[in-house]
Amino acid sequence: MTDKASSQLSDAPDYDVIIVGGGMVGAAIAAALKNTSLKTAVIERKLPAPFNPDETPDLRVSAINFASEQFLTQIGAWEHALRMRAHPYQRLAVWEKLGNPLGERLSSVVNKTEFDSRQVGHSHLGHIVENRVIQLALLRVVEQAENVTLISGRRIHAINFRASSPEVMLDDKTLLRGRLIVGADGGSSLVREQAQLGLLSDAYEQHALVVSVAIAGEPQNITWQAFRPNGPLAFLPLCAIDGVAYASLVWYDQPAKLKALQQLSQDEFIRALRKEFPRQLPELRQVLGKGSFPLVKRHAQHYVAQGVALAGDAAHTINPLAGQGVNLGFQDAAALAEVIQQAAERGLDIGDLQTLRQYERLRRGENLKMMTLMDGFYYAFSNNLAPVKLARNLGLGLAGLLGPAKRKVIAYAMGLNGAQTERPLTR
Amino acid sequence: MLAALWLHAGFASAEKPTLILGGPPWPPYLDEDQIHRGLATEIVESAFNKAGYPVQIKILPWPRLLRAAEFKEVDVMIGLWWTLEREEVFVFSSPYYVNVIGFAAPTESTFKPARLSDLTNARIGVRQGARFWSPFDFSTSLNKITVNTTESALNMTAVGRLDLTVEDVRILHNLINHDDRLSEHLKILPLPLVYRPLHMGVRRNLDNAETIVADFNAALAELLQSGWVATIYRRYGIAESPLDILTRTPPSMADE
Repeated sequence: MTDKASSQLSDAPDYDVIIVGGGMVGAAIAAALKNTSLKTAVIERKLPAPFNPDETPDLRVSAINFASEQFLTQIGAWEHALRMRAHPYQRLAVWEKLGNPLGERLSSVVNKTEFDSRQVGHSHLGHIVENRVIQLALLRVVEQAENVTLISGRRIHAINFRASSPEVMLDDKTLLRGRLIVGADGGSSLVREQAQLGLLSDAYEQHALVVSVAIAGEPQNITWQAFRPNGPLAFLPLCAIDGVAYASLVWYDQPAKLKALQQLSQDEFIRALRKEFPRQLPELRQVLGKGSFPLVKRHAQHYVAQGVALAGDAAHTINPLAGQGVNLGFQDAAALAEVIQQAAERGLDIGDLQTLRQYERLRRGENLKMMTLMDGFYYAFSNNLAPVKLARNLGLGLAGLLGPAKRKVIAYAMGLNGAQTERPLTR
Repeated sequence: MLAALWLHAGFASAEKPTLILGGPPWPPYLDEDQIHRGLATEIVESAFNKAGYPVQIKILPWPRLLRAAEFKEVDVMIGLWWTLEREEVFVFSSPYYVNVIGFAAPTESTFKPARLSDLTNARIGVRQGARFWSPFDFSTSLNKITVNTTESALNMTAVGRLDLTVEDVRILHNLINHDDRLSEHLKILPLPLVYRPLHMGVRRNLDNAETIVADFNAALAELLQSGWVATIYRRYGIAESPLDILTRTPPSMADE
């Protein structure tokens, strides 16, 4: 996978685009630039392990919405992901977990709403896919692209934006010069820091515990979130392997509570899951793995500067409540690839600030809108007042009953809202 | 004088619009009684001067200030903590200070909150219109009592009508240390609620808002580099370097 790069490393090659980070978003930008005139390098310190169909699912999964699926199809990665494994879901349910007898009686009427892709004539709302599968699928496209070089196994030593062309120095002292450096290197982005693009950030009180489980019965076709004052509980269905169905659970709560949970034995932990999660949780057979992470919201002060652009988590970290993070990242990837490719076709400098500002204009407002929406949603459900709860539940129930409103919500969940679907995606 | 000349020498001021800077009374950060009108005002004004923008300054009560921004009578908010809602209205600058948000409690109080949920049974005085930290601001399980000013909250805490006053710790220290009665009856709790970087914000609907912020940031970076921000910090009794302050990440209730 690194052969193309290794023969060129000592020659300090010149690239049009150097993408720092070959994760899902960085690899998607590279894949979107395949077969263009833009000589592109992707630097990824550690490549993912090859896919093994017999292995149980990874802990880290993403909800890929319909719009992202279209984008991945257009850049040629989706077929590879499907060939490995991706699990479709047709239904999405949201409700509130009420802890009193009145709540239980009310719950079936007012506190649940469910959306079904068939109501808008689609076979599914999206897919739950392991992050590694998405990354591998994209890297497969990248490997096949003549104009893209994948550089792995090396760390970034320094990035210099003061040179006439931005420079990336690797830890083996190889110097790469590019016209544009793309920072797709995650929430703690080195590119963002070195380019002094600034960061606005704030922490949530809760952390999230992700749990990978084997469940009894058939693979599920529904993803749901149950809200409680301590934070939501989420269920994401995964595929079956050798007749055993899998799923991913997310438990949002106080850090101390999650820390205590992680110290329980497997049996105790399964009992805790059964007790806390709603009765819709399928019977649990086995816990395969778990890991917790803090919830933060971050927004880069600037997405672009002369010779540099940020995409994905390097530009924004969103509350993972509705699994929108990577979908926003793919929309960034599509927009950035389109902007720089159009600039190249017109003979403009792809690293020019005016060119890159088009990308920031396309994405910043959209990302902020989604961040604010998720934030508001999160706080609307993070309180304990009975009248507020009732109003919220009525709201949820009504959303389930109203036709046009429901269709709008479904479109939003599928990523079919906003400008991104009206704009032609790159390739 | 030399410093002022140097500040103005950075960029040509021709054709740059006069900006109306606004902020609420918030000593020692915004303080009409101080010669430089407070730490925040001085840093922001210095950076705009350095960037070549003429400025006028209005110190107004917070509700009036928000209305003034809405009616385009104020272009720049001198001191803002970032929230997503505010980002929809303002373009945020790089931070120039980091506020430590904490609590004042009665001297004899044994209260030792380590996480937000520990505050559930406390009566907490909160300055009207203040936004400290989303989990705190949006929590409906906390007993937050809105008061007109932080001084009022401290007075109520000193006489036992409130259990806690929430505010920037430097402000709490200033208010408590300048009042014998308060200093006798109140203490600052050791663990802060949260740390909040302080930014300048330009209203988004102002022409060239992004450029103005970029110019401000470039000028601020020069002022940090030259030691001018450190000089301003020291003028307000802050011995820590700007780098230490802007990168501080101590434990707070936002962490485990």
